[in-house]
Amino acid sequence: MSPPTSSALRRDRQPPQAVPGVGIALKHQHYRDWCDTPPPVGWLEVHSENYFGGGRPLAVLESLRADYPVSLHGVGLSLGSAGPLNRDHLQRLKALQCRIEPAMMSEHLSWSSAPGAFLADLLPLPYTPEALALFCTHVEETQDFLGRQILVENPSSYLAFDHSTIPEWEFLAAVVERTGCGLLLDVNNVYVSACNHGFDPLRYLNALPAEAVGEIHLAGHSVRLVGGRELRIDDHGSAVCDDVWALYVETMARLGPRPTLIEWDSAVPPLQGLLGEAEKAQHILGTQREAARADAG
Amino acid sequence: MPTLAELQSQMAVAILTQGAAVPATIRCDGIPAAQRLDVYRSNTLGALSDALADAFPVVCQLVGERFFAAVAQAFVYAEPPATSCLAEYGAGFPAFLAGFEPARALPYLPDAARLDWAVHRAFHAPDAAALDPACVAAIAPSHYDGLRFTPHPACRIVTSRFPVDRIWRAHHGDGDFADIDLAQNSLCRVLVDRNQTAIRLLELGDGECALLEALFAAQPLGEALAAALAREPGLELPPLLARHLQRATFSDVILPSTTDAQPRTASN
Repeated sequence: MSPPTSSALRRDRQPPQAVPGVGIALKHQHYRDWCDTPPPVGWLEVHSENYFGGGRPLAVLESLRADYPVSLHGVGLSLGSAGPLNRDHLQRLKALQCRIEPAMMSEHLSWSSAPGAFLADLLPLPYTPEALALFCTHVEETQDFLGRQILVENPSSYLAFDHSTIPEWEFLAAVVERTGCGLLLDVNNVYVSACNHGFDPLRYLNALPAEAVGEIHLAGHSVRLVGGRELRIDDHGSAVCDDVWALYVETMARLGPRPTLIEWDSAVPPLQGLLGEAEKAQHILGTQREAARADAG
Repeated sequence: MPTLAELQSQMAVAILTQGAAVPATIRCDGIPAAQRLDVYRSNTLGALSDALADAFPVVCQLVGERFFAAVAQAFVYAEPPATSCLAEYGAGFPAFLAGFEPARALPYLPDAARLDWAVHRAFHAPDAAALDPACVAAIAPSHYDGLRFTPHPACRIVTSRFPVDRIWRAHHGDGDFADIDLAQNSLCRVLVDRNQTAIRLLELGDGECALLEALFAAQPLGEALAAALAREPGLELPPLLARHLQRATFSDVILPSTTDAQPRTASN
């Protein structure tokens, strides 16, 4: 399927090219393993910015794209920054898109850059009408520039703003409604933010437009004592915890099976560690498919 | 209420400046706002320090992880990245090290950092086709003096009065630290590039280094050769040029303008 190019087509909110089952993040620590023994996963995802250059990283990705659908997941475009989008960044993303022909492309509901500084983190937005208008403009500009739908991922956060007036789930639903983008639902982020801010994760899930969810993320997080209270930190440095697996089961029951990715970005274990998590997710997806079939029958 | 631009500017300053005021609109909700913001500061410092450790592995090994973490943090506060591509962050780190008082005892450290950076950039440089030697062979000798060579994006020259190339090799399992004598006459002159995907260090002769430095600075071949001959009288150009055409040191050559004002490139 070629990506929709016209604005009208895009607004049909066609789902991104379907990818099979469970994928895992491609980490540079595992390049050799992937090339020597292609792992039994449905697809792979990379952070787009790590492939803006050439050399070995791009050569590995180009060789793997022949065998696996690829998802380009951006962490640096900073859709939520006030001011104009970084056109140079967009150009480089488009060049990578043309070379890799990804099945899916995604960015975050967050910001990373202020004038003069890139903060290398996904910072939270105040959920205000001003931020919503700005964010939607940037999503539309990105989709128009890339000629395709993007998925927007819900963030995990450690602070909120007094002047926020819109719950995060309503903000996301409005972005989908206004721009025709899809959602990348990070179940771990829902859990982390729900714990940190004291909301019900199921309420969050129920409020999202289910048909817009094109991808699921699963990852581990850590718990840190901050100011005498527990804060959950989304560091992608461990296995998925039991509570997040349970929330994933709930999510799949509500949405039906969706392409699911295992992320792991710090303290990256051997490839087998990611594959073990992928097997668990695959088992849940399989159970979900059987249940869906039984319902249909 | 602050506008979005005001809030983001305040937060960036608060994250990148120790002791800066925390935006008043951050909700405490049981945890002081400053401590909530500290989580983001710690993420930013961690991600940027990791990016620097990735770019400067030999420097990191030379000074140890704790010292490196301290100097990396000082650098992040002094020169936060302007780029959203982390592999491109750190160009100013060697110069920062040169002025970093606690590192004074290691005078070779800034040059080791320059070599680390050259290797890092060579690794991540965009792919580009090499200049076809046949293109150069087809050029009339009357044009030679005015030729300008475009270096391949992966190529960098590093020179130092310290043997930082031998230190780099030893850190990569090639050679023994015990054989490195900083007090000896141990000049380093290397061309860093990559062969497909593997990094290579090529030792350069004195005149060869002068020639490449001039060519990489976009000087025409005639002037570059004069600079090289001043450094190394009797230097033979043809074998040097052949060696670098064969190694893919250049990606293009620009002919001197003749009747038209626009330079022409051989690969067009």
